[in-house]
Amino acid sequence: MSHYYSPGPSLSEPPTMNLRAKVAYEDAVTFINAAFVCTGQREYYGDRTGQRVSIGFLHEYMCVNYRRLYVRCLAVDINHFNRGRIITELLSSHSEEAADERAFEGLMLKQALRRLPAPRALRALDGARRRKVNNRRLRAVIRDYLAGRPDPDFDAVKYRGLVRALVAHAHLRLPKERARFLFEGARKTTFATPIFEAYRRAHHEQEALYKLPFSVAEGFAVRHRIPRERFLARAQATMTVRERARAQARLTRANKKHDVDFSTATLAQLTSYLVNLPIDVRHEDLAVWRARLDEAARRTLAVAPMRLGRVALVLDRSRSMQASSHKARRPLAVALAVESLVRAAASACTSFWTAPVEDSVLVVPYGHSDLATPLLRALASEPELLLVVSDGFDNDPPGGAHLVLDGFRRHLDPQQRVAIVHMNPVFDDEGYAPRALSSAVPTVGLRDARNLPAALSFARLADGTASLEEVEAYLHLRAEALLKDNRHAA
Amino acid sequence: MPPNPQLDLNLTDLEVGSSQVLGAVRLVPLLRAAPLEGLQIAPQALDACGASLSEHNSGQVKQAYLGYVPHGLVLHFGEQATVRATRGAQLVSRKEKVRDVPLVRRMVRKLDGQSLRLLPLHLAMEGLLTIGFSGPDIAWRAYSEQVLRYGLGTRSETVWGADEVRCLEDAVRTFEILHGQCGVLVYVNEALASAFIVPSADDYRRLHYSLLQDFFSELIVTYAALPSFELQVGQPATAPRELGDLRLRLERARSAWTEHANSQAKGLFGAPMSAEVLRRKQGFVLRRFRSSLLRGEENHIGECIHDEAGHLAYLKTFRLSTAQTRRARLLSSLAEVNWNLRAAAAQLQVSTPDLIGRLERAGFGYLLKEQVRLRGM
Repeated sequence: MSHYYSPGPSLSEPPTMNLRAKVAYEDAVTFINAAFVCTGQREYYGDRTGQRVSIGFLHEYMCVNYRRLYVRCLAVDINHFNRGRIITELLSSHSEEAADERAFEGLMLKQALRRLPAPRALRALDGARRRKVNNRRLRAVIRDYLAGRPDPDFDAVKYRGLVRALVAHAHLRLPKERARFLFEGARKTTFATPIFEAYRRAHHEQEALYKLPFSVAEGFAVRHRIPRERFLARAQATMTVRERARAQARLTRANKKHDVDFSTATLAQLTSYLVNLPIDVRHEDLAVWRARLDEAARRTLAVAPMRLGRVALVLDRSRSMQASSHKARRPLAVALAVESLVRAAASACTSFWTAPVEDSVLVVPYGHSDLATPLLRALASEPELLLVVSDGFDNDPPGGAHLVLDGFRRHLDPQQRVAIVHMNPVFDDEGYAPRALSSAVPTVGLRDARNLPAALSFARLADGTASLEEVEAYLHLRAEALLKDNRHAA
Repeated sequence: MPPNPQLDLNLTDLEVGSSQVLGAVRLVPLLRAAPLEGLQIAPQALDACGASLSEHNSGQVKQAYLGYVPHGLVLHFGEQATVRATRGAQLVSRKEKVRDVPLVRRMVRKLDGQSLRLLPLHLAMEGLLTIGFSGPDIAWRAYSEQVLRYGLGTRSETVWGADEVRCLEDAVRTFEILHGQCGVLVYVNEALASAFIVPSADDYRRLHYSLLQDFFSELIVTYAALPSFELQVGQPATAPRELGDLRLRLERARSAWTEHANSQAKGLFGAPMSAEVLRRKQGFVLRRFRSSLLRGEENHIGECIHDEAGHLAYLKTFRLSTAQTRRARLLSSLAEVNWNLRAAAAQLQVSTPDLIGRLERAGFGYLLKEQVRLRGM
């Protein structure tokens, strides 16, 4: 049995807890769970507005009522969208905590900002600006963040609008040339800084735009009427990994080959890309894709090691795992990534898709969600850990999965010899949480298979039997680790 | 509709797939092993305000059916690879207008030698509205002068668009169209709201979203707003000992759902229907039908097409609300006994003043003379 998931006390004897602590515990768990998955994008069942309103409420509620817990949530592996949102909320409201707690909050903010991708971090800061907040703390945070960036000139070109807005908002003093670039643009004489000069020249010279970041060059390419294919082929050097994969997908659809280096892609990037490829393309080099998945899983494990015992996986590939055009087939990609990761981490792994597939590389969303049948087959294989990856919509028959899981937990395995966790890649805006499959097993949000260890350790907190102290201890531990990591890095 | 009263609808050609539930809406897919040959159906966007039913020789509209008609269906008989259906633009001549309201021509209209255009559900609804429409043939003294001379004049029923049925749009959008799916049963809180069947899976794919342009009765709109139904499955009292027991329980739940689904469709399939033949073409028969309008039972109206061998090729139904059934029942029982009030009261097993009161409450008070109404109440 893995050390990541140790079964809690039996379901039949819930621990006594006073009501206040119980509510706080449930609120915190609900929030963290939601923050694992929700990205404010349209889902298969829920629309964008619903998702935004729902997660927005959770953030405000946490920030007002449990600020201490809310700050520490920054250290959990919640997704970037929610980390950015927490930063915005914290920066645009004042803390009434003691001085040392306020100092701690400042450290956490600084560290969390640094760990976010630049556009997310800048947008989080910009969120506070949009709320018309301007105080010494915000100005200092903006100043420190921008000063800590490795290449401020590059940022000024790539994120010009955001950087300009923040610099103006925080009244920052910049080197003369960068200030001129941000506020006056390419109108006047030459720049000494190469990237600013490339930007200026790109207005009238095609060659110069290939020295600019890809997203900026794209605009100039349209202006110079460079054919898209020619531009993509030449601009490869300036693309980020994701940009290259996106360009590749576009060219594949147009039947053109383009070399993408998958050797550094994360598991999530790789699976998201794979599940959106046409079936015959995947069929052509099945073995290559299998190898790439295994390789990516090994890379993930090298960063965050995890050992699992005998694992059975029940993976949903029903139509609703398709998600929406905003996040094409993301839930299915999560299921595939979990399979690859567990296969690499477990001593034995058997997977059961809701509708059988020849090879999981070829998986597409199809059919009804009959989770009960694969669950029974998975339980029959006598695993130590049973992981279910599903969006929680179980309709063949309705409530079939609950029938099996509840019957198993209550009557066949009351000692919890088999650990069962339901991983849900989809946020249900009406329930303010990832939709649960059954009350008998914990449901944890999972958006990136990389966070599987964190999700498994959180599952013990989420199954309704833990206490507020445990959640606090968990958050505190994560926060300490984050800050220690920071000092180490510094 | 006396001419061909016997119609027995059944689902024997179709396989019932497993259903999907969202909120109060349950969609049951109907599948065919092979498409039915010889008939193709395609949607046609109309966005019209009604249909002309009969015209004077001069071309002026004499009788019209008014109501929002978002789409029509183009039926093509015989072999053809693709069905051509026009979208949007329709040239409407001055003739097909009544008081500046643009109309489409006729409920069922011949387009060319091999195709027809029909207005789905409106065809059936027109059948409902024309019950006893011409009024009494015998000049009973109880009826008002106007009714004796002009018949009912105007008859109206209120229906609701699909967007009023909560969750239906989401269900139609999110539920998958299965391979070979040729039809669907729409249940709202376990009441059969509508059945829709077409000859082939290709046609169904084209017409799946047309469900959202259909109309529903207020009964269905109300049902959709109620808390959703949960099936109670009886399970053995003893605790399960092994996985096999759980499997048995699962099978039980599954068969309970199937059984439930089959039992819920009995009000439409297997119930006696009175039908009227509207067209015959290349062996296919287009009929509209209505159920027996009995009190306390579910009542449907609809239209269907059967082929020569009696296979069901096309079906679309509308579930009547209680009030709509009551109104239709009153008119049809009056029409059956030649509008004799006393005979109709005897047939409905009520007293004549009671019958008059019922007519009054159903909105048919205007049929009677003032003094009869006063006496009746």
